[in-house]
Amino acid sequence: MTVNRSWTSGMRDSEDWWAVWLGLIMFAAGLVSIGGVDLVGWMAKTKIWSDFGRSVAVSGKAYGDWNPLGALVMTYAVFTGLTCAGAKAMDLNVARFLKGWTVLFLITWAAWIIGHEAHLAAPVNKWDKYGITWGLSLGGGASYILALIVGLVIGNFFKPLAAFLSEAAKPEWFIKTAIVYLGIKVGLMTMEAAGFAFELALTGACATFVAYMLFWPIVYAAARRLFRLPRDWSAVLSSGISICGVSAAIATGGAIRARPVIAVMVSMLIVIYAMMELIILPGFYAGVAPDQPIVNGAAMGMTVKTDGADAAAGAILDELMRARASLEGINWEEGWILTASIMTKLWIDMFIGVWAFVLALIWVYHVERSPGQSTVGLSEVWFRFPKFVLGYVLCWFTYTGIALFWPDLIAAAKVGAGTVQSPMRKMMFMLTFVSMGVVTDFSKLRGMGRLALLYGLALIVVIAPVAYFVAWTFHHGMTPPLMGE
Amino acid sequence: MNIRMILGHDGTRWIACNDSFTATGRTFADLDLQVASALRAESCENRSRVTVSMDFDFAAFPIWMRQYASHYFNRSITFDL
Repeated sequence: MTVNRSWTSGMRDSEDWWAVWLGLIMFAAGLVSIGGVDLVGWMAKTKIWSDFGRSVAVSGKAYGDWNPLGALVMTYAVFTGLTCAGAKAMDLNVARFLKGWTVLFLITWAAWIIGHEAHLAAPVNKWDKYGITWGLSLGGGASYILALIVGLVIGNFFKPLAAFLSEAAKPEWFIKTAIVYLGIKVGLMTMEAAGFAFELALTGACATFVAYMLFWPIVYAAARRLFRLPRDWSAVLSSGISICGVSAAIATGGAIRARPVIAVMVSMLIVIYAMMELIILPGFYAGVAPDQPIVNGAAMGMTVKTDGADAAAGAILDELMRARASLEGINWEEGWILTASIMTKLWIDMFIGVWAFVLALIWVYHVERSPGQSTVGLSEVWFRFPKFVLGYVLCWFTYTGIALFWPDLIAAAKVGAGTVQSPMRKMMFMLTFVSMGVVTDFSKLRGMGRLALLYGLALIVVIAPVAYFVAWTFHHGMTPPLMGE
Repeated sequence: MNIRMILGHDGTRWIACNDSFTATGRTFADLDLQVASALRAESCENRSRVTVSMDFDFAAFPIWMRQYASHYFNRSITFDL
């Protein structure tokens, strides 16, 4: 049984809170490097390779004498322990989770390593170093794309395997954990370019206004007037398309007390469309507007629904755009395009509880017209607040605080932070990619009829163009800082 | 008097239950009527006002959806018995 009765409900047994715990455990372990002890340097990481024996390395200098295979085993052991603890707390079948997780981990690392083969990943100016004469120069994007393809193949053509992996394939849990780790990176980035980070945060707030006050009413009106959908279906679908995907659909369904099946059906649609957006948009934006990295990132945050798909799309976009820019001798710092995408999305996420509360009041007092008999508790806002944002903000502000108040500690802090925000975060991204593919079954689109048509039309005619226009208005001309600046 | 119940939905009807009784209804109006009559049938005759808090059991959602959210809704209704 899972019910929310107090402000602490879910802290022990919800995926959202477990993303915070997994995030903060590594955040705390990383911080210890300030005291001169590297507790996270055992983490394995991939490297661009032409010699397979050099494809995996150890992250921390303090662990320089470790065999990379030993680091990989250690990485598996630590993350298996943590995720299985979470699975047990969340009342999942731990034995099934462990088996599924182990296979996911192996697929993830295989895709990650293969995607870093020099012909796929090496930038042009490093071809000599790897002894190659041609390549795709996709950077880390090759691994992400490969992981997604492998996941999709499993999810759509090897369904028994997908069912076997389903207990462990938790893309939202993995990406929320990765976003907490990303908070560390944003903190480090803020040390270097505070004004830029502040501007991204500010314009993210404006995106929130667009999602709730522009997208939602337009889609709702189209659903009611053009597609003749009932009020409850229209409201749930409008939130799913306009705001933040599945979590918004669930929150809205709950707010208007819709039958759960409505939220379930709409959520299935959202997951499939989010995957389509993830496949199409990064390459499209990178190809159409290669000189507008931050515009593209922010537009992605407003367009792609579900945190997992948005972060994944932002990560691919970041890799593709930087790889393309590097061909012209421009070397943007990693992470800013991804951050533009995620920060925009997080702002939108944070207000879903407030929006659902407003909808609940409208439904009780105007639609159902039963004021006084049934009440709406303000606690609903907290129950629907995305808790992983707390972990993200804590990490961000902690590292920004270190830079502001204890600048002498920055070098030591970066030792642990570098491992958590880079190889650990990227591994969680890779797990997200594989898991998203595994849980996406395109055949579920069958029978969705008007819902699927409305979703597609709203996305192409309203959401994507308006999002891009808004992102362009705020960010055009902005580019990430150059490496080494 | 305050009473807590767990709320669910079986695809057709809302279901509210606690250790004492179970009520069902295709709409909330139907459900609330059943809850009220069940309360009247119990030892609540001497109470003038009863607040019933119904907390939705999120376990009713498919497992794959629980990673996106952990709360559907709680509702609270007040009866004059």
